[in-house]
Amino acid sequence: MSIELLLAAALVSATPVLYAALGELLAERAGVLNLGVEGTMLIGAVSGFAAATMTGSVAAGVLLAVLAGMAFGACFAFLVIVLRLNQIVTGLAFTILGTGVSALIGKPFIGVPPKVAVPRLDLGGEIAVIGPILLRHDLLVYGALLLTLLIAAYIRWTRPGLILRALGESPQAVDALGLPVAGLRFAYVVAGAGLAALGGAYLSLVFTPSWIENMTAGRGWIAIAIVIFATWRPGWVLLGALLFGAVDALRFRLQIGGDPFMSVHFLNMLPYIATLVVLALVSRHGLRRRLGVPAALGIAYDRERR
Amino acid sequence: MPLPRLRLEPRLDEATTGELVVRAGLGFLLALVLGAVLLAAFGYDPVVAYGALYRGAFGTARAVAATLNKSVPIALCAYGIACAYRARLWNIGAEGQLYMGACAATGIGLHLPPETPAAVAMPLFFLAAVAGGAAWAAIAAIPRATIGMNEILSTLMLTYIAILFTDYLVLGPWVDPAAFSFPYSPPVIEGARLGVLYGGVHWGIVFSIAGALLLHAIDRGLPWGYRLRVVGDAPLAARYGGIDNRAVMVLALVLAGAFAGLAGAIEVSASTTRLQTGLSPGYGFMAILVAWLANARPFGILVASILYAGLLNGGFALQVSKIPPAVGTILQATILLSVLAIIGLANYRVRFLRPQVEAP
Repeated sequence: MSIELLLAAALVSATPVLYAALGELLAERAGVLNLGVEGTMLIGAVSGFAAATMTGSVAAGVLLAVLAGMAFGACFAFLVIVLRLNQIVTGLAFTILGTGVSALIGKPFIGVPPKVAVPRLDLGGEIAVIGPILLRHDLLVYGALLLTLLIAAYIRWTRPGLILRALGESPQAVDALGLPVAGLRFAYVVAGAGLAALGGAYLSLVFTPSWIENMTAGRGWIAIAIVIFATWRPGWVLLGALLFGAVDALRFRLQIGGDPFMSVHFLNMLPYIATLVVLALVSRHGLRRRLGVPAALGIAYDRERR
Repeated sequence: MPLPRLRLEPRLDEATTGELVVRAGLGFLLALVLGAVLLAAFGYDPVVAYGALYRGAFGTARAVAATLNKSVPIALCAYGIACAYRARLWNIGAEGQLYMGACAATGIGLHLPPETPAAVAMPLFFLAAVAGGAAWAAIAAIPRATIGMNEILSTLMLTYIAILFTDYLVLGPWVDPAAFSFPYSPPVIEGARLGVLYGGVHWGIVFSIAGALLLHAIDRGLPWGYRLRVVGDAPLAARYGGIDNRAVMVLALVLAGAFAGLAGAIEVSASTTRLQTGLSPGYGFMAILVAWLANARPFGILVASILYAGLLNGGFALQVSKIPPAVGTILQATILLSVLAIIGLANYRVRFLRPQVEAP
């Protein structure tokens, strides 16, 4: 495998976690820690595959995956934002719930060959170096990259983006502006869940492509790790996802090459170790103020108990 | 037309234990109804499914024994999580500490001379497990106490590293040559294996009950338990009172790791007799749910862990009735969420506000 092909494979491996991590970033920036990403991705994977197989339309698959993920996210948001249940416990329960529901829905689809493919778009595969790496992919890969840019610009330069940041840092300020904290958080959690489901659908429609129980294999947790690694910034989320993608692509390559167990397992630890290091770095006082955890992350907003 | 707005107002009175039990019961019933609707929607008979679930969980002496055995690692991890939560620390990484405890114990169990008597092997085996789990928790605990590193996120990351490390051990240096490249280590020596207590129930349940008593003692008897709660609820008051916040935080998380490490060793010693991939199907995560359901009370955890283990075993038994075991998984989450939702909702008064005309 040439280095170009490896990097191209890294980009493809990065795409599902990139979608999921961007979704988690929206939720966490709004102050909601959603540990149900893994379950949401599975819901997206199964509903996308089921819809695409039954309708024969890849667009229908992607759309249904996003809608299903949003519905799943809305249930989560209702419990943690309206009923103010603990986010950690509820998130874990949603990972379990998503695993179970996706297995139940997906039962008839195990072993069914994929009938559709996401269209590919050649934007200039002949161009040296960047062509084979960047410009010969399917639409969802470009979509993920574009979305990263959009979200980065949204958070950084728009007024709603400023309010999103405030939701996670100081919801009482948003409340004082007369804006509905619960409603906005709800919207971001639901949107984030839709993106996580899209990442899941990418796995079942493009990456694998078929439906296998538990096919996300921990990518939802990787997405959460990447958001922390990125210190809640979209550009760094892209970098983190690419790092994971590179590790993932390298792993395939090493597994083909003989007896690499040691290197594979230690290689797989890399994203988590990198995340721990970043987490330790941003914990230091000076850095924390600039890039640290959204101050209100994980805390339900309650006007009467603040 | 503007809709009437629903508002939740906190109730000021604390719920009594009786009220909590009633709410938990209501939540359980709600979950069963939701589960029945789901089962019917997928074309399965809810009565058959629940019957199979119950038989698999508590229906026979053998099922009861299996359920009790399975409750042990969940309960032990949950005691640790509850202990850390006394200091308002979240130990999401019990799963990883469980694996590290199991790795450390297996290291002892594989390398002691095979004829080592149990009186020597057993203490070493479990000490290693406690040390392994505690050390793994310390990696998160010390930065939490010193630089304020978020322990929710760090313990979660450490879990995945621990699982990968276990995979490395059982596929690499500790692979059992006789296991035909299954991800198993060789069995640990005889002296490190916990025997059967009664029927099919192994000695682990004794550890589980002892854990509840220990947590109870920390709550009620030991001054240390008091410090734990002060640090959690009023860190400034603790400092003013001369309590070393940092030391207490580290101890709380390290103790949580020790409990989880012990759980890992018991799994190796009494259940699998060896280290293997997938040693725990997520006991450390289930323990978080169990600890939360039990309101972090020691004997509540003991009971909740047995019920949860029953649900796990019942889920497997569903297959006999041609019902996918995923139903069991869904029920786990549904029961948890319904109970939490009912308990959570009951902390609030629901009021409908008349729609008001917003100022422009």
